[in-house]
Amino acid sequence: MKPTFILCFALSALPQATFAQMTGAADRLAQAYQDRVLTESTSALKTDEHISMYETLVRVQPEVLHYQNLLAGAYIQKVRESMDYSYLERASQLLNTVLGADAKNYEAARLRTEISLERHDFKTAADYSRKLTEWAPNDSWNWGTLGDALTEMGDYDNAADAYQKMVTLRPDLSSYNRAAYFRFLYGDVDNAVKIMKMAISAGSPMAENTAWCEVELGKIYLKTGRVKDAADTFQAALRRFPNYHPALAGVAQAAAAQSDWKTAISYMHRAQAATPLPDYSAALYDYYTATGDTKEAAKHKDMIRMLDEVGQATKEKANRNIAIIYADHDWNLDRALELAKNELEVRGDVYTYDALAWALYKNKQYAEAGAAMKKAMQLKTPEPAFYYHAGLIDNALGKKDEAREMLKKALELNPHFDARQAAFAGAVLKELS
Amino acid sequence: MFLTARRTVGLAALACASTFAASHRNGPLLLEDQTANLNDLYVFRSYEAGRSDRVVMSMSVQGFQNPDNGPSYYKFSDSVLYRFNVNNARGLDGNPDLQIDLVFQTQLRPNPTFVSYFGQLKGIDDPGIFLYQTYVVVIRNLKTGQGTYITTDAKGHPLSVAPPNLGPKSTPNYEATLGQPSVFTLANGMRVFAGPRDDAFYFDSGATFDTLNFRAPAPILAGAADMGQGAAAPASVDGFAGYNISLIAVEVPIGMLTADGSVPTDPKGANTKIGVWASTHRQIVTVRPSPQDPLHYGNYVQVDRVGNPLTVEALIPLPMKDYWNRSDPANDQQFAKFIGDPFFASGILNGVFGLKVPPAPRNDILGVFVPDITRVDLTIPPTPMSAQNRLGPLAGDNAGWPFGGRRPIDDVVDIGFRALAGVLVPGFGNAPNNQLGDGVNSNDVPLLDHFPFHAAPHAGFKHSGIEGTNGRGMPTGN
Repeated sequence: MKPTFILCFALSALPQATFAQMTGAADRLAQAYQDRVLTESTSALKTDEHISMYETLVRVQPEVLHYQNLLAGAYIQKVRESMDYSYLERASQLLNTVLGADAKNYEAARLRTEISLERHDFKTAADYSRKLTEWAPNDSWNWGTLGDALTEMGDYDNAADAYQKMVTLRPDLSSYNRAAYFRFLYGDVDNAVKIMKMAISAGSPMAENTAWCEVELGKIYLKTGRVKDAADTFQAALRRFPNYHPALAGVAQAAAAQSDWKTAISYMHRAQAATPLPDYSAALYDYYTATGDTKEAAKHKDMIRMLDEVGQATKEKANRNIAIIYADHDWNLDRALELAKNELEVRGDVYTYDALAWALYKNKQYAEAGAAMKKAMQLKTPEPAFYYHAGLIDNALGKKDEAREMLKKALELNPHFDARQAAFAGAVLKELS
Repeated sequence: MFLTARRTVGLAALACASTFAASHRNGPLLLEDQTANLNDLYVFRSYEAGRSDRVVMSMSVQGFQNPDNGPSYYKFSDSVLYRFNVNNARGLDGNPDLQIDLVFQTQLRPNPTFVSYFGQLKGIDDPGIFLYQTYVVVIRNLKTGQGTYITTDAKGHPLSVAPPNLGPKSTPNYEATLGQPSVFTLANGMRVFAGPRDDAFYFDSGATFDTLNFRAPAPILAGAADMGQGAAAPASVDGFAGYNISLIAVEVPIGMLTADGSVPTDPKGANTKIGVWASTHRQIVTVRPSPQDPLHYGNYVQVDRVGNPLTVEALIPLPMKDYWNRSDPANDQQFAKFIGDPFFASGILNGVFGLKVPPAPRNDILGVFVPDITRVDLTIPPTPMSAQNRLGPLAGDNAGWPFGGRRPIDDVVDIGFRALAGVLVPGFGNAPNNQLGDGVNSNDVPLLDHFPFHAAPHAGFKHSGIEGTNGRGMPTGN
């Protein structure tokens, strides 16, 4: 086996009390050994099993900071899989403990950046990442988190540099999936697909990581009209990581694009049961509406309002997802605009500008909507919804030719890009033609 | 009242899943790679009857494979270049002179199901192998710049990857039907194999993870506990038993590997030794679209390497780990301060464990690990399998690690531990330094006396059955 077992073996032979006799250097050495052995030997375990193992190690040897880092990493993985943010708080507390005891703890500092990203504190994440790239310029991880933060802030040029550094230092699933996403952002769909397939082929010991890339590939297919490929790819993600909520939602969306409402409703319910996101409720509202079941649809409208209330109770100010849902359905349009505007204070990426433009349009602030939409379209990202929003805004501004082109393009990308909005796009285009 | 209670519960559950979180792109960041992760490198003169004029090199990747990992099973990555590096000149300085690369390609055959394999697989060309992988072998002579691309065996058959061992219904007589037929003889005289195999590494890892609960009489083995094969200490358990790895193995005539094309016989000759390491590589892609370069793919970057067992990688600090993986063994001197730290021996073995160990600097350790390559003295004749000793040179069987390369049988854990205790340094080969061990003295299943030497993979059906749990070992065949 590749890892250095020797020392771990030596340690295993020691009575517990002798640990106290070790010097700090010895501890670090021992930790390095045990880390590699632990990681490799436990790669087949599920995240909950990792958590329980590391919790035991932390309990038995609370003085070993390294175990706390491992546990924090497992908690962050749990957040990825479940969206249960109580684990993020636990991870954060652990890392604070570690950094309190050892401000120079590199591993904890690296994980702390991920916490900032998960909390949408992108500026802090960028600051942390920049410091870490100075500390360890050869570690691809830090260039990745820097690129992530800059992408969310809309600083695409510097993000591309950071990601290029990342992939040049280490081509693997982490860096490939980011390169693929950038290709998509810039409208290079063919190479986005190719590179995302390389990410999937590169793989990760964590099944969720590879499934995540499959979901991303499925989304690219779906946005660009390859519905069958999308459905197959989402199903592949589900086989790899069962009950994965974005894959369940993906299967539902692909089914909805083929007007297979039964499948769409069944899978979206499963996604919703796994993780209650407003997007899933909105989809269920649309699917039930499409089948004429207004009674069921109303329940999901209630759910979205409740999710928004929960957000407000937890002092959540920005939420572009709910902003788009409200704007899509002409609900709470004041609130939609407020949520989108607040999002802009956190980040300035094309998706945020799109949400803002859409909310402005629905609030009849057409000139401002046009300006925001221009920023959303700066990279010519092949998002059918972007072109749809741009078309309606152009139309409101009296730019009929542009509006026609935009709506055509939205429907060319995927004639069934959204269960509800695609039909509106078609109707407006018909009026204009 | 009932409704209110339910609603409260519902809200509590919802509050956990913060709603904004869905909208940022949290791409995964890896702690460990999967497909490019090298586990072990084996290099040795063949001890197969009549083939002692050949060297076998094999690398294992993707450790701890569950044999029942359906429906998709493990495969080699199409985006990884797997490489054997051979150094045969300049006193083994860690620079490659010859490289043997394998690049894989996956073909998904028309498939009416969602599984990768279906029905009884009657041979390596069975149409039930939906996930069909082939590979290309590229031999690069770095001195002449000559490259040889090999896509088929001498008879024109594609170089295909052995399918997994599913169980008695789908893959009966696995080794005869699918395992050995996946060994291909090339036109240049080489033989190659790629596919799943049993992991030949053995170590009582379970005891370690039970909060360092080592199983007596380990770690001091004496008498039968040391000399016998199998789990000599009755309680010791091979933590790798029952798991598979993906193996890439090549058998090469010795003359193809030496600098002058000779088969050395003089132990003092200039071309007596070769050094070997394995590496994995992936291609750079450009992040920004560029109309000038429609392919957008760049050079290969090394992402992992392995020379010796008990690698030093774990000793490299995290901020430098990517750098270590990208670097060549020729530059390993820069890592010597992490590798040859005498604390190894003095702090743990001497300071804590009470053993008398050699003083720093430990040139005996640095001599093996810097540069990190496995050295093979080609003039040492191979020991027939029946006469091999797990302790290799420490027990007078010089054809094992670290002098004669590394064979599957070599108990690198026990050898390494004793070497760290100083048994290779005159005056330190006494008890208990020369009795250290984990108590697991052999692999869970018998190794083969012929290419590719690693045992057939464990069958998924049996692994998932009650008798197949990880532990004392299990039958490999059907």
